[in-house]
Amino acid sequence: MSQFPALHGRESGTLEISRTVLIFSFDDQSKEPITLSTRSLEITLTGNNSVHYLIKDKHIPNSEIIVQDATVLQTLSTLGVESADLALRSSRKKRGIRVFAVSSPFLIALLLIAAIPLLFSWVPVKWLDGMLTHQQERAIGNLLLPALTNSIDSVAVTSNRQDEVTKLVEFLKSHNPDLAKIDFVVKLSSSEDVNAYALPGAIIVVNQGLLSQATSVHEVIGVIAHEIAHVERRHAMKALTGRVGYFGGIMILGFFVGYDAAAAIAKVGDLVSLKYSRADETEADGRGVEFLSNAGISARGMIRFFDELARKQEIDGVSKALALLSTHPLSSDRVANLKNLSEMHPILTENKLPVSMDDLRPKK
Amino acid sequence: MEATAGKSLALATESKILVKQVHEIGEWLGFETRNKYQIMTESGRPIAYAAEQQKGIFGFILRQYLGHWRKFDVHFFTPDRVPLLIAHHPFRWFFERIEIRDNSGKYLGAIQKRFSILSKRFDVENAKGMTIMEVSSPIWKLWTFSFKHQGKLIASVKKKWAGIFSEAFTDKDNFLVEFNDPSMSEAERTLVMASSVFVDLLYFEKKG
Repeated sequence: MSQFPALHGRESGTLEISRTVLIFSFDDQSKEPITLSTRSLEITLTGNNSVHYLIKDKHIPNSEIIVQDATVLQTLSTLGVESADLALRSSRKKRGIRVFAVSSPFLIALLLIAAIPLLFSWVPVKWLDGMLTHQQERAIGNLLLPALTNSIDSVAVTSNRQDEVTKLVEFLKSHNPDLAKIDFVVKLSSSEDVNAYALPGAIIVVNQGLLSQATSVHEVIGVIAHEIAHVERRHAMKALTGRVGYFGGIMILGFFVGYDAAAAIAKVGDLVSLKYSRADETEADGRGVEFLSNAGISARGMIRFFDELARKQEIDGVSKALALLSTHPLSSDRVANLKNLSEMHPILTENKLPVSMDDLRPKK
Repeated sequence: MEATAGKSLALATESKILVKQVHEIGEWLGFETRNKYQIMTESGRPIAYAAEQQKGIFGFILRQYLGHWRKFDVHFFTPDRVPLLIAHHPFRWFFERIEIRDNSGKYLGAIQKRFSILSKRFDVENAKGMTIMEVSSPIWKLWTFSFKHQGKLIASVKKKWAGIFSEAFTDKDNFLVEFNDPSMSEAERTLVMASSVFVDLLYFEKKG
């Protein structure tokens, strides 16, 4: 027989539970105990600040007993009292609603605060693009360089491979009138990340890791053609101006969470990663294939390189060595699209490239 | 001063009592001194006094900087200074609680604050820890605390307006305690009366 503290009205007592009956004995022993049958129990939820349970025998007037411990219901449930199961379910539901009601304002407030940079990133600041001179854009690109890599200068100064990569850029430029007026600057980074990227001011950065990973010069020029297309279409500047609002949002977030925390969030948000939209990537693929085609170079190398990266992505997941994927999201669809584009621009006689892979590959 | 075991406030015959915070000159100087209360019948006859017992400079500092979160005891006396009750408030940041014992140390019950955002909620527990009355007062209902059992009004504590001058310069609060259910036991009446002190310290005393 289990015993639990209980109330009849506000009078305190003890509820004893057996298989067939519940007996409530008053603490005031001069009062007669109340006996309820387990067969005719009716259990409802009560209590305003917390969930309590009102148990009564349907056939006995004034038999209401209040218990405040859910264990009583669990005990009754094990005895097969169906209304105890129902009450327990209602109690859990009520508690769930209460937890949701209590926590939702906090969650909404947190989400709103966290969403400030995101909301501000929608602020239309595209008008900034086109307002700056080439020199100003180049200055922005140079400012971003240290944030993206700190190893450029050491390699650029000591390696003549930067000139070899520049030759590939110049080769494409000489065969594409649309690129004639663009003053490209090529930077070679010692980073082992397999990556290349374009910065505002027509700065193209090629990582040593890309040159190590590539198996032919056609693969390298394919990636460069893609980056040149980003420059020609001013995607870097677009991506940057799209983040001016985001940056403003980070500043506002600083008011709420402190500037150190906001800076950490900004880092997670990857303010300087210059991620392009899917549409920009598709456009750069298309223009890249065109530039290669105009220069009499097959896009097969470009496709092979991206195909290989996509394959590795499937096998290894995105690793540090495949950082190109983080700035250039790659999928099998995109590779298929590149193949279609390549077929639209067939190369009858392929031109010879000005440099070989041996010229580009890091010397051991 | 000698304790008389089992001595009670004899509230059973009262339908209303007044709990009045006793004014001290320190408050006018901008320092909050020990909280003291006078408990009177409706006709104004004093039946008890209550005072926060936390002396010394340390207690003063705690009161100034921790407000109602601090640990303290409120002792209740008869007008002839015979101890009646002790209300003990343990140190709590949240879900504050005040536990009431009679002068022999017998546990009578407690007032337990409950979580709430837009309302003032607390429970009155009996000696066995069971909730016998609940208070759930909307935040905009500043001055009334209704004590209910199963939705039925049992008692209420109302902050009595002490005059614009007093309100503006001190935390001095007067409370009207009404026992709406004549069947309330002495222990229940004592717990409701002690709640008025809890209400004063929790909702009306300034922190720091």
